[in-house]
Amino acid sequence: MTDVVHLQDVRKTFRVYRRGGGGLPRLRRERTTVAAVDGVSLDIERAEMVGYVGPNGAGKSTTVKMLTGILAPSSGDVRVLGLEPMRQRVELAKRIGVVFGQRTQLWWDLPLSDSFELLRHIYRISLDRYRTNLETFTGVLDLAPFLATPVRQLSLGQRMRGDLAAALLHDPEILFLDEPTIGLDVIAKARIREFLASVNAERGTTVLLTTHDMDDIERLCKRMLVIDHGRVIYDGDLDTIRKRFGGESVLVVDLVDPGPPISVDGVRVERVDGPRQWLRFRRDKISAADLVAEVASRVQLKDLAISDPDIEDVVRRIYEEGV
Amino acid sequence: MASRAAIYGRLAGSRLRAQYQYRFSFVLQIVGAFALSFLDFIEVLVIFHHLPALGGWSLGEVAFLYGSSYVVFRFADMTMGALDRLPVLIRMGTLDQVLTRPLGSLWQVLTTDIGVRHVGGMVQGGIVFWFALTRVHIHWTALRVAVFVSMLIGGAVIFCAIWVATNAIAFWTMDAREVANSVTYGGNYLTNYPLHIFGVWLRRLLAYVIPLAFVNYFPSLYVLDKRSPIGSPVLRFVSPLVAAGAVVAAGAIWKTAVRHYRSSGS
Amino acid sequence: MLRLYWEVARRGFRRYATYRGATFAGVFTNTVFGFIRAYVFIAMFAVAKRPGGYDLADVLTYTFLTQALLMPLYIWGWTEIADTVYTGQIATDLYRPFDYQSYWLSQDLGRAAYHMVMRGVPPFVIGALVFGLRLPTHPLTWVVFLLSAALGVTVSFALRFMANLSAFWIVDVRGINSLAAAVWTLLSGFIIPIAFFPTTARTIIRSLPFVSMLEFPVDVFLERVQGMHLVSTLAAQAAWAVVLLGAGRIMLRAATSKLVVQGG
Repeated sequence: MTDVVHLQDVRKTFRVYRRGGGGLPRLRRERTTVAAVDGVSLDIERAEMVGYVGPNGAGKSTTVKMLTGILAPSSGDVRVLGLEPMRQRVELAKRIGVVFGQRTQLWWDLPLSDSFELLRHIYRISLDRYRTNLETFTGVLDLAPFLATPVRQLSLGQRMRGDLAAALLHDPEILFLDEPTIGLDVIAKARIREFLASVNAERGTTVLLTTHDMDDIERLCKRMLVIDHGRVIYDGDLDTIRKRFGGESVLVVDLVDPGPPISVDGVRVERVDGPRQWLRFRRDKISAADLVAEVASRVQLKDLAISDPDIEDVVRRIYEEGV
Repeated sequence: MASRAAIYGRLAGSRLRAQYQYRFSFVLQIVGAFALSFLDFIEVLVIFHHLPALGGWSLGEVAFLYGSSYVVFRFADMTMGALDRLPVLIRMGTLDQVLTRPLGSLWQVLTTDIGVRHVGGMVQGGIVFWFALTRVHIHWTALRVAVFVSMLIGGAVIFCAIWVATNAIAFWTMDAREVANSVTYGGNYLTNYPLHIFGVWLRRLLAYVIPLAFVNYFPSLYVLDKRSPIGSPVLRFVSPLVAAGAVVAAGAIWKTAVRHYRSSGS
Repeated sequence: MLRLYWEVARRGFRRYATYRGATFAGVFTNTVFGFIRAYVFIAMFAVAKRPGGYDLADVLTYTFLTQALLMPLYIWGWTEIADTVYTGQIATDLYRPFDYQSYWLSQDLGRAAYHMVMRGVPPFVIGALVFGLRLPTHPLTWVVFLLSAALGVTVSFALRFMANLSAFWIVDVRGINSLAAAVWTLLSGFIIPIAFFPTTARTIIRSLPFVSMLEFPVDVFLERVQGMHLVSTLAAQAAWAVVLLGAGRIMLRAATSKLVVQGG
């Protein structure tokens, strides 16, 4: 079995307290349980690069926390590299790397290079290995200009590059990334994606990438898991999904006067709300420009907009239509 | 163990270098801490303006208590001070990152900050202590020296243990920061004065639960050769044992706290 | 306009009312420190003969009253204005159509009212139940005490206002702030009554504004000042409040012009 990650029927429930409001503190509290992860089973093989997507609150971060030993599952079997993250945290930590998108793992006040040095000691990396890796990453990620800068003075993109290097210094077998490209500009995103692809290809590092951004998945992952409300609703390759939902866009038109659904060949009217209509079309069947022209020739338009399907759309469609 | 020392040393060095960059502010902080801590001693001086002895202890003897407590307290503040920011670390997700690294969580948290400025306070404590030594007559024997040294070491360890145990509260509730403060800073204040002036319930608490009585009071009884209305003579020599026990207890509390965090999230 | 400041005060009260958990922990802390200090004074008064004209009941009342007034006066760690300077928020705040200082003063008084009720009363009541405290004999004293406490809060606010505005000129306010706070704490009479100090020191300290924050309201409560002496005490508080608020306004003007010059 070459599974490096194995989840079997894993559940995680949280107790959530809501204040009763008013009066004395802590006298009235309602307790509800929330299942952040509700029966997830999945296996990842060595050197796979897997995308883990879902809307906010779907359970992505909770899953990653259970895989990396931060959080204990309420029930179910969690195994990473054959180890139990909860019981064998330290042993597992030596072999994995973790990057959290919005927070940094580096020491805030200290120069970036100091963080690397500290990590060298924490992970007990041999000097040779450390120097080689550091040189490679400095080159590929272009860290040289800000190696001596305190981390708190770095831009988001610089910090993310620093975080990635830091997570890989000890040659982990698995890399867990939680929203690594969030908040970055287009160029920074491209650079990070390129780097991740090369790490996976050249070093055989298994990568689990949770993200909100479909572009990340498209550029990097062959396999994608979609999670919603704590359950995996799709586990398969990207092409299938892409064929069904990827090439579609939605044209939102505001008519001057409310009217009947506009009928155009190959275009589905998804929704009508007074003078506003949502028209779903496939870009390979009809171009946006042609569609606009066609619609404008039939009705009087006040305004229009084009939107691409995002992950919420994909999830919704998967629920509604199945795969 | 060696690598932990290496990490801590490295971190202390890095921090010093980083703070040295802002030399003026850094020096100001040390001087500030030094001056600040004198203010604490003014209370003792003013009290003794009105009486020759408090609870049967002279100014020199109280200064002895004050100095020995303050030095070890500020030492603990310097090394354990990072724990004061634990709620912030939890909220920022730094603690999650800590748990993904192959090193004990407590150790990693301690390395996030070292309060070098507290050296100023330690120096002040030392000055008060020297002042005390000029006013009391200690009959130094080998045993007295041993008890004195173990008092300082034990006191530092006990304060560190208290720091860890009380700040672990942050894993359960963010609101109880002040409770932790009241034990650490309150504890320092308490140990400025001879234990027997406090109410019975407080004395028992400080001997059996939060062992502040062993930071300086009981060992001082032997070093200063004073009689006390409370406690058997044996208690004057057990500081090292109490310190060891405190370490074990604090470690257990921390582990429990982290286990709670890992099962219930944040 | 007055209506506006009343609303602001109410807002200040409610804002702090949301920190309920912290309040409970705070009451615990205040009470614990009250007990510890009380024991020290009891030991002291077993030997000392009426230091500063206080007897044991006086000093115990002083202990718990100062613990009660600690949060209303907020002597340590109030950095709200300094925070707005660092975030830049202050630039927009200064352009609002009402008086900046009065706005913050009103809000602070609302906050102080909350702290007085929720963090001041409980420790004092506990202390009164356990130790023999001296409560005012004249009913009017309570009213005058509240007035004196309000003046004390105003003086404290004026000082904090200036300390916070120093953020315009000093990068790291924390160091200065903590040093200042420690000095004020001692000189206001929080650690030990100023009345206990030797004569010369006492005279010097009483000429400073800090006693107006704490020692004076406590003296009023303990009825140590009567008649004309009471009037002059309140007048001194009011005078310091006016002077310090005025100094604060000058500082604010300097800060505002600095802002304009630097472009915010």
